[in-house]
Amino acid sequence: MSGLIDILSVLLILSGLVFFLGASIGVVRFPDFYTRMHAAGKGDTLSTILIMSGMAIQVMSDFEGMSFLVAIKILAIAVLIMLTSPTSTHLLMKAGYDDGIVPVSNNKKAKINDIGGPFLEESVSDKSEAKKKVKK
Amino acid sequence: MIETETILICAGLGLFLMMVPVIYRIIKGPTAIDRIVAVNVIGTKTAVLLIIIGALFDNVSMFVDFAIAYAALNFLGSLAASRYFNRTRPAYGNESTGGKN
Repeated sequence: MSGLIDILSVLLILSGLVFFLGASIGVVRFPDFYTRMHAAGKGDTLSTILIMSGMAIQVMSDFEGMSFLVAIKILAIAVLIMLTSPTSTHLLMKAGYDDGIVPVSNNKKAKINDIGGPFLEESVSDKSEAKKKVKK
Repeated sequence: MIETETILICAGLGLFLMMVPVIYRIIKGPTAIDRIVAVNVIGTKTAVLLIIIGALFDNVSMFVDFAIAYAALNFLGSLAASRYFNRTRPAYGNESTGGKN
């Protein structure tokens, strides 16, 4: 390990490992479906970008023709995960929300309608209004 | 001075050790979507670990393609699972604490 480029890449890789540790601890330890989702989505995305850019710098430091292409491919993986990880987190969370998974709260017997907030209440009232219109 | 290879080996070992506690969430997780998220986390870590293994074996140009395929398949799998559990199945297995509204 010598030179600024190596030190920079090692720093990027180690900071990415810290965020990965946060993601896996969050997935195991958080009390709730939605909070676990939050830890998984955010920690994975940031730490993947950090480690991939560190490895791209590491590969680029050879200064050959082929290594430039490989570094571009590694950065393409980072961009791919940056696009797909929030998308899949959003879709899975929407699936859980539609299934009525209850967020953690002090009210143990609450259903999703009691905690769900204005968004769900609006959609429910829309459905009931739609039913009324059908009946009329 | 520590060599870069040693740091890469330690990073790979650390990544592998971080995958182990997530398996607890796959086994225990109360809803099916929890398990899918845990598998997703492990898949992302595996794509990163493939790059590190490639750098250790001095053959990154081969392992990069594996990592791209793994990341894309991971995304497709979670997408298909989210569509499946959104339309047909409730997220809880036998005991439904939430249920359909």
